[in-house]
This record gives sequence, C-alpha cells and structure tokens, in this order.
Amino acid sequence: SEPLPLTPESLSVSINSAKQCLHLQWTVHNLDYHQELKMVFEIQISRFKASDVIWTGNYSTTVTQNQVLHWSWESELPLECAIHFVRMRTMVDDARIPVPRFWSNWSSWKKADAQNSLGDHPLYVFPKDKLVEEGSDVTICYISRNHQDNISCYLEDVLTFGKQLDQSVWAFELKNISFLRKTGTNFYCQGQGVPEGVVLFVSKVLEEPKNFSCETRDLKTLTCTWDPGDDTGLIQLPSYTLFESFSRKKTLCKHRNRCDWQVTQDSQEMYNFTLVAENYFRKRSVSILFNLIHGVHPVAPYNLFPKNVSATNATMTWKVHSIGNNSALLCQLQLLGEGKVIQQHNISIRVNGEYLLSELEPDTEYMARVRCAYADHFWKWSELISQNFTTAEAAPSEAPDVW
Amino acid sequence: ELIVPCAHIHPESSVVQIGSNFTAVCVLKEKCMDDYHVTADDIFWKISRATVSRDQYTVINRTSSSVTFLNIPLINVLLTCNIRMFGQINRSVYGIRIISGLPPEKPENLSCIVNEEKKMMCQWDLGRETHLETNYTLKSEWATEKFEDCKAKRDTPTSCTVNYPPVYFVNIEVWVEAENALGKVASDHINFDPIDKVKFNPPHILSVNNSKELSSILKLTWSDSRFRSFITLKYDIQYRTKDASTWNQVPPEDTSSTRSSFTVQDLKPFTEYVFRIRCMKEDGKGFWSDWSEEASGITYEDR
Amino acid sequence: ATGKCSGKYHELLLQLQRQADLMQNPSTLLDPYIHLQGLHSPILKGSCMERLGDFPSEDVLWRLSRQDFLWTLNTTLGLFLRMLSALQQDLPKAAQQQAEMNIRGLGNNIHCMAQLLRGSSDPEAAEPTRPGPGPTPPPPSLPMLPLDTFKRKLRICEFLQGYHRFMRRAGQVLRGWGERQGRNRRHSPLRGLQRA
Repeated sequence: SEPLPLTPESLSVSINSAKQCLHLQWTVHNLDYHQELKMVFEIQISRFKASDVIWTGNYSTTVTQNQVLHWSWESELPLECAIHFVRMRTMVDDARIPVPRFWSNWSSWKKADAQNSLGDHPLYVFPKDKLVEEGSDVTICYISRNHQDNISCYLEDVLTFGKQLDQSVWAFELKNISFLRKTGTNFYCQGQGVPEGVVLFVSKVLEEPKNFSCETRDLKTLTCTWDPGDDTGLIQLPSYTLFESFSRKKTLCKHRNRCDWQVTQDSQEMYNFTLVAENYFRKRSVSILFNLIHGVHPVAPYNLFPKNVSATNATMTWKVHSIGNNSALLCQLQLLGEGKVIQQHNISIRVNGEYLLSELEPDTEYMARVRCAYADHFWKWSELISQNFTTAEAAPSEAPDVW
Repeated sequence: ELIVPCAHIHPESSVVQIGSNFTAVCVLKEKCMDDYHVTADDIFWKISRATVSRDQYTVINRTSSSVTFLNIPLINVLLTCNIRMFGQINRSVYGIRIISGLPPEKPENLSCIVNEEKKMMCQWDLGRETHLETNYTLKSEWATEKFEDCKAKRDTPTSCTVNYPPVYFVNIEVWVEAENALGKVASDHINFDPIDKVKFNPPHILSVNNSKELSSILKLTWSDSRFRSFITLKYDIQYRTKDASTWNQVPPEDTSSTRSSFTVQDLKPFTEYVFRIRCMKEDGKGFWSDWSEEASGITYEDR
Repeated sequence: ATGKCSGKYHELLLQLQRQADLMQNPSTLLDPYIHLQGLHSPILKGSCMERLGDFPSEDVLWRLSRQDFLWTLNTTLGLFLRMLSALQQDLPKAAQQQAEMNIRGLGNNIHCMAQLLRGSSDPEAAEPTRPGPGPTPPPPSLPMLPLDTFKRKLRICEFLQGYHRFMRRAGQVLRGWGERQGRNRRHSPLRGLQRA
C-alpha cells in the first residue's frame, strides 16, 4: 500500500519579544519507530494577512519518530507591530528513498499575535530598549489606535518619515545608526497625548585587541596586556577571556586591558594564548605563541648600598628577587659623575650583587645605578635603582705644618 | 653595631619642648652585666658621636644610670647608652631619638573663599615654627551636620580645600585644629554663609558696539555668573584708549546692580577703546572676580 | 545638633527664601539630566511637566501653619533625597551631589527655623500662612518608575520638574512669611529673639 504521507504536526509558534524572534516547534508523525530520515521543511511567514507572505525558506534536518523540532526566525520588524502567520510543509530528502518525492500538504496557518497582550493605550512604539550595533539598520514601528490621529516621529530631534504597513501600523527604517550617548538614542512619536517612544542602546563596534603581549616578572605569574581600543559606550562592558590551548585552560580577565595567568609547576615553557573579547554582538580574538623564558622582565633590584667607601674605591652591594630556582641574572652597574655615565660594568649574579668600583676621585659625589635582566634569555631590563655616595677625603701626602 | 639589647632607656624616643629639661635612665639587664662583667659604673652616654660629659649623669644603682639635659635647644639627635667592657672595648647597648620643638600656636587669620564652581578653600596663619611634624585640620559643620575633616597637605600646611560642594545660604562654622607631639590647639571659630565668600568667574564681554547717532558712546554687553538669577551683583568697568596705559573707571555707583550691558559715554569719536570688567556681590561681601578678557571697539566718526 | 543656629529670624528666613530660589532653578538638576538623557528636543522637553501628586500643591502649602509647612518641606525633601540616591545611574553625578547637598543644607535651615519658632510665643507661628481650611497634605510617596527605559526617562523628568516647581512654591510661601512679617512689624513677638 501507498506509504502514509509525512506531514508536520502540532506546529506551535511563540514570540520572544526581547530577541524579536518567532520560535517554531513541531513534530513529524507516521515515521517508523526505528526510522531516521533526512527531511526538508519549507516554511512560509506572512504578516498582517495570511495571504501576504513576506518570507519563505527551507530548513533541512534529520528526523526521528515523535522528535520535537525547533526553529527560530528573527523579524526585522518588531513582532508587536504585526500579526504574523506561519505554515510549513515537508518532503523527504533522504537518498535511501526513491524519487519522485512529493511535498506534503501545507500545515494550517498558525497565528502569532503579540498585539493581543497590548493594553488600550492610543499609541505604542516598538521595540523597547533594543541593543543595536553602530552602523547597523533598525526598524522601529508604532501602532496607533486612533486612526485619525496625526502622528509625527522623531529620531532625537529630527523628524523622521516612515512607511504605512497597515491601517494602524507605521514602520521606520533607520539606516546606519550611530552611537550618540551612553544613555541611549531616543526615538519617539507624538500623537495627541504624551509622546511615546523607545530608547536604542547603540554599541560601538567591539575592536580587536591590539599590542597583545605577555611577560613574567617572577616565572610564577604571567601578565598579558593589550590595548582594548575604544570603550563600546554601553553600560555592560565586553568580557575578556584568556585561553591557553596546550593546557586547555582558560581564565576570565578582571580588567579590560590586562590579565594574570598562574604558571603551573609542570614547568610548561611554551604557551599558545588566545585572547577573546566578546560582547552581545561580536567576538574578537588575537593569539600569540609565547615562550615563558623569552618573556622574563625581572623586578627591580633593591638595597643598593656603598660598602667600604675609601678615597678611590667603593664596593657596591645590592639584592635581587630570585627568579625560578635562583636563575642567573645579568646586572648592569653604572657609575655616574656629574650626571654622566663614567663607568659601566655587567655582572652575572644569582642572589646578592657585589662589585668594587675603583679609580674614583677622593671627596667626590657619585651616583651608582643598577638594573638586571634574565641571563638565560635577555628580553627587558628591570627598572633602574640608584644610590648616591661620596668618596672619603684623601690622606694628606705630606706631614702637617707645625707652628 | 647594636648588639642584642642588653639594656633599655626610659623614656623611649621622645619629643621634648625646646627650653625644657630632659632626663633619661639606662637600665642594664642582669644577663648583660654577667656576660660582660659590667655595672652601671661602666655606663657612659653619647649624643650622636659626642660623649656626654660625666657631670651630666649619675649612677642610680647597680643597674641604672641617669643623664639629664637642661634647657634643651633645637635638636634632633640619637642619645645612646654605652658600656666600656674589659676597660677598653666600648659598646652601645641602647639608643633613643630625641627631637625638640614647640607645641603649635593658635592658628590665626582664618579665612575662606569659594571660587565659583569650585569647592571652598580656607587658609590661615600658622604662627611660630614648631620644628615638629604638625598636622593642621580644617573642621567644618552646620548646625545639623558635621563634615569630613580636611587635612592640610604636608607641603601646604596653611590651607585646605574641602571635598564637598559649596551649599549657599546655609551658615557654616569653620575652624582649624593644629596638633603635634607637644600639644593641640584650635583657632577661633568663624561662622558665615558661603555666599558671602564667593569669588565669581570673570564676566565674558560679548560685544562692544558703537552708535551712528552718537559718536561719543560705546555699548558693552556681557554674560556673567549663573548666580545672577538669585544674587545681586555689582561691576567694575574700566576702559582706556588703545595706546593709553592707564585705565579710566566707570563710576561704581553707575554699575552697582545686576546688569548685562552698559553704555560708556563721553568718548572721543572715531577712537579705539579697550574695555575690561569684573564683578562681585552687590553688598561687597566676598571677592572681586578676576578681570574679564579685554575687548575693544571703535567709536563712530563724528558728523 | 552640633554647631549654632542663627538666632536671627529675618536672616534665616532670607536664607530659606534664597535657597528655594536657587533650588527651583532647573539648571541645578533638571537641565543637566535632560542633557544627559537626550531629552532636549522641544517635544520631549514640552512633555516634561510636573505630575500632580508628586509634590504637595501650592494650595496645600499656603494652608499649613509655619511649623507644619517646615515639617512638610523637610519630609518631602527627605523622600526626594532617597529618590535621588535611587536614581544615581540616571543622573549626572555632579548635579546629583550638589542637589543632595542643597537639600541637606535646606534641612539644616529648616531645623534652625523650627527651633526659632518653637522658642517664639508668636501665635502666628501656629496659624496657616493663608487662612481657611485646607486639605491635610497627602503623605508624600515615591513614584513607581516604569521598566521601559523611554517611559522611565520621561517619568524621572516629570519628577525632577516637580521638585523644581515644588521649590518655587515653597519659595513663594516663604516670601509670604516675609510679607506678613512686614505687615505686623510693629508688634512682632519675634523681635525679642533677634540677637545682635
């Protein structure tokens, strides 16, 4: 006997006003229990009247018996401004089924009417509190109960002209909307009474983070920094997440321009970092391959003191913060006289530094400066620290005059 | 080098008033006396590197020696208690810092100013130098509310700017408290309405227009403070010919109430004049604003 | 209380009047709000009218005794102060802080005036500024703010407009005190209270 036709059943349509989406849900009957079939569904959407079809499209998926199928459709026109009708039909789209194949009958039209929940206010404007990205287009509409009202609409204080969609519904297509202020852009319509309107929250386009780089000061914590670019202008800030692909770990960054990453004990040296900036509209990401050893920027040394200062010599001592297992640090000691560098010495140390400065002038004020870098792989000098000192007076070359 | 303290000086580091006397007592610990075979007789005092003369200190008992300084001058020194061990080795066993100075004098000439759109700033005279770290705190309160203390910065001890916006027409009581290690003193309280302490922003001359009909006049218009809607202002208007160096003054009685324009008369025809204007509260309370930017205009030709 | 109140009735009354003048000026709060929220177009500004019931009416204020008027003024502004802190996200920070300080300052002067009137034997202190039975002022309440941002913007605008209008009304009543005082100067019981 002829196989029973497969038809979409118990189609239901719901409205998601916040996302301005129609949400469809249905099942397909007459499938054998074990059967899994590839099917294509043709969907039609009409507005105001069922006969006014405004959108047709196909949706293909694999279907099993009594499986509940879902599909959403975003409307550019706020759903509150029009009654929408949806119907669909289906056809098997599975190579195992011989041709010819036939479309099922259309389902009955399902109505999505957001207007029935509206009150009896003379004028409504939609969508409420919409989030839009700068440069995009937005459709705003109003519903006027009193058809003879003369209604004018404004974007901020600019008179704006729309298109009549229905006896009581007008739509306004705002092209290439721009960011105006954090508190939103006002669109409003003036009829008889108080103006009715909406606020569009325009977000600037999220920029790709620039100058993304990482460094460590102690081989225990990595700090990645970047330039996030312009603030998007919304109260909700974009989120920044740092992913590391080798360890498959991630961390949500607390700041919009820097992020700390704990170096684990397993002495991982190579890191493949991806920084993802995300807001309601976009995701931006940048990646770098980072070698821990190549990014060591030591903390400044400390306690730089002149020890055993004589007329012509001075022993400079200083301390450093240990890195890793007391890894070697290359320190550069400079001697300045009258503001000019007169000696410069490079010294490799691990914990404490000590160096004898010689050939100094007696009773003379000097400045000693020191900075250090990671000896295994030079990347950046630490900050400089300095200390002034004065050499002792020289002993008199001849005996003092006696009176 | 200080070896493990085997003595103690009472009092600890101290601030003393210049001209007063000061006594310190060094008490050796028994263990120290046993270890180094010393008693209070072996104690000698030093101020920085100088040894104190013997007649200034006395042995109180086996463990203690006291030293006294009379009529302390201005000092900031280290007083150390030292022992002579084995007849030749000197060791410092304890030290205290002695700083001398003066208690603060009562701050005088407290006055306050409210620059328009800025917060209230008060200033005062400190009185004599105390040679000590002295904190100056501006106190302010209404009848119903105390405001947060305004602590003068170290480098500007004679003034403080409060951190709350000015509220006009509400009497506020203000005074200064000065405090250091040797004492605390408060200035006289002053009570005023901040509106009487305002220094307005200078007016902005909008135009200087001549008149075809009258070649001896120029009309000034200006915009000034937003206070004008609820405060009567008075103005000073000065003018001079372009090349002159001295200013002429419009009689104050002609500009003694809120206005935004004035016609200056008796000018020479076809001559360029430069004008400037300032304003203050009509009753003379508060401060003259700075002079406006100068603006000039040319009288019309004589017919 | 901490510091001293001015014991001079006329000086205190003048300060109250001037405070009302200052606080009724929309440039101190409403205008910065309108600018921040982009409500400066003629239509939106035009729709930013005080809503009845947000603040006591002029008629109510005129019919209150001076003590009751001071109480109503203080209570109403106390509620407004709470609303101000609830609206922090919506208001420009500097204007909100200054308005808050102005209200606290007015509260200070109200306290001092009430203290002065309590200390006075002036029968007029208990009489309404303008005779005749008057409705007892409805207990002031905070407006419910709509969720829809556009309606919220306008509703806050109406509320701030109401605050400025209320302060103008209060200023007029305070001037009424001044004028009545002028008419009865010869036997003003308060004269004894004015210290030099």
